[in-house]
Amino acid sequence: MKDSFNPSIEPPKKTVTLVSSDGYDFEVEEEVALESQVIKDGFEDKAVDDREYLLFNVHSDTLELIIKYCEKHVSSRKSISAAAASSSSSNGEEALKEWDEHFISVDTNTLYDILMAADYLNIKSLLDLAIQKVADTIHGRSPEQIRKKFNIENDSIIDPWASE
Amino acid sequence: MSPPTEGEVCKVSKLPDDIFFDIISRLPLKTISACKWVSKTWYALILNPRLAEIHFAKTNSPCVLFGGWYKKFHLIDNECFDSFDTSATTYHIEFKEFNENFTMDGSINYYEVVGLVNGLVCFCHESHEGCFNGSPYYVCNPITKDYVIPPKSPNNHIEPLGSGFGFD
Repeated sequence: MKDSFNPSIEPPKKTVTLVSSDGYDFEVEEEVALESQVIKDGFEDKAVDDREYLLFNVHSDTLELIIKYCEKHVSSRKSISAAAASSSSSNGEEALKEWDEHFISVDTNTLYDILMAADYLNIKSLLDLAIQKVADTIHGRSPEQIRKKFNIENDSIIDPWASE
Repeated sequence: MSPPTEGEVCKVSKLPDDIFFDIISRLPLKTISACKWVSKTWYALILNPRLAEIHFAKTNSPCVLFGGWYKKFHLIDNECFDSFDTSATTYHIEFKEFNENFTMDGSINYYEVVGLVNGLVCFCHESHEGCFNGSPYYVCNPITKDYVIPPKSPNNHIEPLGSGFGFD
């Protein structure tokens, strides 16, 4: 009992529960969940013991990836600011960029799921990452290549400039 | 994470409009122009004036347009300025049915660029007589290759000394 009043002991990390659309519970640290602006906005209104969020639009497969992204970003931010505080050199930003690049290199449907989840949860940096990835995928491709890449049906629109 | 099954329609084609515009507006003009011909849905979205607005707001560096011979114009995309390339490929833009009715006398018409505003380009006949004798100015959108002809001035008996293109 005495221990609980000892300030040198770190309090247990607060967690929130995220429930995916297919009914799986994910217990994550509060600061990780707060990467989502939507969760952050509604956070103070919720009772401490009722911090459970039903994410009707996010499947467990996608939620797992989103949590991985948020955890990485929270921990990287901490180590970057710690390195800055001790004025030691750090390539944290570069390493995170590389990690992001690797993270978003997924098939087009997974990319779509991440994009929609990032939009729904309002995680700006992730939404930006996913949108840029789709743009990079389209960049420099011909209409036919784009259709093939995204499996879009050719509804017989005629390109009058195709012969150029 | 299973890869998409063969024949399954990719979900990227079901993106909300705002996200679609965000994606497309990050692309250079040449790719945007190609994207129009992906499907009817993409065509309609790319012709939406909101895309032009978003694209223009996002593009910090301008395109360079060379006035051309006859009805062809050459455009250097902003992309090469962003990547500090030392050489650039140009691609020509030709406006649909641009001025077909002006070649009736068999003469070759030359055009000059009057100005560029908000991503739109204004052309006119190289000599200003063109305007005086009733031939119009053209305001063109290089993304869609469409153009409009602004209404003529009611004071068309005054010979114009010069032309400009601006907005208030």
